[in-house]
Amino acid sequence: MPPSNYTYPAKKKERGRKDIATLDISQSLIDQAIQGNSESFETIVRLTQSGIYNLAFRILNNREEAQDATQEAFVKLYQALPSFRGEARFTSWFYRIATNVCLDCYRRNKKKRENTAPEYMEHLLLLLTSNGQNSNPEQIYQDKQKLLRLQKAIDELPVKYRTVIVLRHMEGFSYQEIAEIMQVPVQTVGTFLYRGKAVLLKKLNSSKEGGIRVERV
Amino acid sequence: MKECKWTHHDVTAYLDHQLSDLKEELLKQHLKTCNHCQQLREEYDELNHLLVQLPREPVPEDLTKNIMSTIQPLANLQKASIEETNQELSWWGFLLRGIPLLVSFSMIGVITWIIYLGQKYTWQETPLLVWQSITQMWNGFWSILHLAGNKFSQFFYTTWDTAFTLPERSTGPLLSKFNLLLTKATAYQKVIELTILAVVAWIIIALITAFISSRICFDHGEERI
Repeated sequence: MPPSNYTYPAKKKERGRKDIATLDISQSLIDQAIQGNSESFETIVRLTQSGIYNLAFRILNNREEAQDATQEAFVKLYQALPSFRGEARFTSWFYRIATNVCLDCYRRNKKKRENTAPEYMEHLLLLLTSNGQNSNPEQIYQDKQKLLRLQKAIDELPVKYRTVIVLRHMEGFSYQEIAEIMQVPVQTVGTFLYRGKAVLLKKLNSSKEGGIRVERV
Repeated sequence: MKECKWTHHDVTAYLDHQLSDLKEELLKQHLKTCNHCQQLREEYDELNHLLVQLPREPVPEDLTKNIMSTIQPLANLQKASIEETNQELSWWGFLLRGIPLLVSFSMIGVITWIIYLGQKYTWQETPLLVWQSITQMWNGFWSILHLAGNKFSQFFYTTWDTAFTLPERSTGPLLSKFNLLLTKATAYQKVIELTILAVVAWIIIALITAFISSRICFDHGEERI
């Protein structure tokens, strides 16, 4: 429970960060890429690579693997592009391909996978140290600790919950779009989100008693 | 401790505006009176904010370059495939490619015919029967060709001569010449019909065989990208 004078950080959209989910690739750009125009395809790559790479990184927890999976996703996109009929939004359609690639990659190397990406934790620490929005050192320290605990908790989540949380809260997709991306019913998306968040909350705070009835996970 | 009917699932769905209007309103009212639920709502709300706050992993500098270098061989292959497809669609190549299949079909037809003759008569008689049939067909073909050519030359000569002769030999206005042309054409209707049918049949057979052969004989079932 945050203190009464705690000011919540501005929401994602308020901070001006552009969600990949709101990104709309024009049909003419897609058509040109289908016709073999490599410059158009490169534009698509530049526009979408950040989201895809971050999704891969979050699922795989490894930079090298994330880079390989991103490349594989773009190869699959290139091959599948002529079959894109515009029935779904391009980003949702592409994320479905990318998510499948990442999950396949995850399953292939599941046994030797580490739970946390040490390099990301270092990067996270560096960012949090340099990003001093709040002048109160105690508050900065608490925020940092929270985010580090959260990152660790996310890494330990089952991959399906992690994927849904990343798609929803980091990439900004709606429930409907996540359902299309993961090819599950919308209700399942809600369940995955709730279960994932419940685990995160449990790990972040000491367990609460009474009050709301917790469903069994 | 007080036990609520509302669940974690409901609270997270409430924060994501995924509840129905009625349920959302009911939970909203409930949150005003239930401290536990209110506390949980705040915790989930904070969690949502923290999730959004997590920094993104920076994209490696050479990622675009690596992706494009992976794509390049595929792009070249696709380009070659498009060129090959265009080449396939040229008329000359299209018809040329149809010849092997046309020959194959003809050979299959001849062999079937020989087997039929061999079964119906005897194998000793078959070569002679085949030869006779070929000779007859050849003669028939030439006689038809000769007849058609003869009739056509007559038709065009007489039509030209009657319709477009000099004015002093003309017997009426232009309309009557046109009617005369139609009359002449009607007289040779069967020849015209036969010729048109033969040409159309030839074009259709050539197109079909060219299409099939270009797909079967030359593509080798390669998967297009």
